[in-house]
Amino acid sequence: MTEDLHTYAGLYALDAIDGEVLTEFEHHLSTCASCQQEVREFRSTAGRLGSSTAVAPPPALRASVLTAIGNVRQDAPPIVTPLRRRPAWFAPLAVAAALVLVFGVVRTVNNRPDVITAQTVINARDARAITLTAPAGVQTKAYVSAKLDRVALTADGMTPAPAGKSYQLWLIGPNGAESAGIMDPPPGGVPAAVLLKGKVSGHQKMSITLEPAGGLPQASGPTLVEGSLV
Amino acid sequence: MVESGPTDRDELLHRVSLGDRDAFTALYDELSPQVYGLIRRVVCDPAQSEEVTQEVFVEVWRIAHRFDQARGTAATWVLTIAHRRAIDRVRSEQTQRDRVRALAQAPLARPADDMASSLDRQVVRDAMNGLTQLQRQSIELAYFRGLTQGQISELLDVPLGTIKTRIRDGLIRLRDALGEGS
Repeated sequence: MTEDLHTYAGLYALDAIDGEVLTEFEHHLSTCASCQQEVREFRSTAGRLGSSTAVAPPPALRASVLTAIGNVRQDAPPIVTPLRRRPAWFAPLAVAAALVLVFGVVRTVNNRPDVITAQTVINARDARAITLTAPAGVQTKAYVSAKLDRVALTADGMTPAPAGKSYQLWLIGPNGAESAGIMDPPPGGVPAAVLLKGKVSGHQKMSITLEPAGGLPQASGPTLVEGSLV
Repeated sequence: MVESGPTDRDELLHRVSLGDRDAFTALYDELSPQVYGLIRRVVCDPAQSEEVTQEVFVEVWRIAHRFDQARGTAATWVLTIAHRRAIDRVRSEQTQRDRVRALAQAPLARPADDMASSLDRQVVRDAMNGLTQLQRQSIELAYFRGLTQGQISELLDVPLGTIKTRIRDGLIRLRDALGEGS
């Protein structure tokens, strides 16, 4: 149905597709400028339909909403400026080795264009951004999509793991921590995104630990980043 | 609903993203009739509509930084969130078959305390009247009833692909008749 995907923009703008078609179309949308344009226009048109049904809400709702936001922390916008000071274990990896890594990642992605990527999850309609606790100078955020049942992580200011070490990702549930893969941030602390292996459902937290290169079946090293996913 | 102009709301939403509570209050006053009206139309039950409206505004507060002016107006952005939340609520409430069956019988009730300006309603009504019956029905069932393509196809007994093209053709016609911006 790939050649057909363009024509789903109308249904999508009205939130009238679900399941696999929705996932496929969202994947397509992330790279199709004409569909992005059409969805924007259709949503604006749908907004006109919606506005024509305006009804004054009950006056008490106003106070209730204003009270509610008092208890809700705003998601911070992504910060792209890497900070100066980093802990000693953020030692930079050799550039050559990093290039090999990046090249490896790009090849994997190109060979499998239809798989869910970190970007798919971050751009998912239902994605929630959650700021995780991280060392000074590092900003990490988890993006959770319940529909895709996946979580992606963005890291800013995080440099490659020291030689012989890997950053290992974990999804934590009632049965403990399960490995969700390895993270290789590019040199220089530039923003990086990674898709965690495994499903979100059944897990309440995630963390990143520093482990021997390649990771371990069970976490042994220090926890660098952690946070709740719910 | 266009009196205050979209740029003011865009500015308000930008200030909300910086944590400005006064701007949030002003944005609530500006957009809550549209948000509540749309949710009420989709969800029907007044108490649930209030709950969903509150969820929407809390979400607007939380993710205001994601708003991108280049991709549409603040009103469109907020109404997109409102619509999604409203249909999530109705879809979680009933099974697909129950919903289709109930809708086949029940007429669409309009809220009595309608607040949209009569001009705006008239413009939208005229534009909707310019559509074919299948286009109009499909768009109303999707947008105001929260039905999926499959449910509309079942209810109207029309193939899936036909629903898809009629909705797209209908939206193109509406877009051209209504112009951009909400």
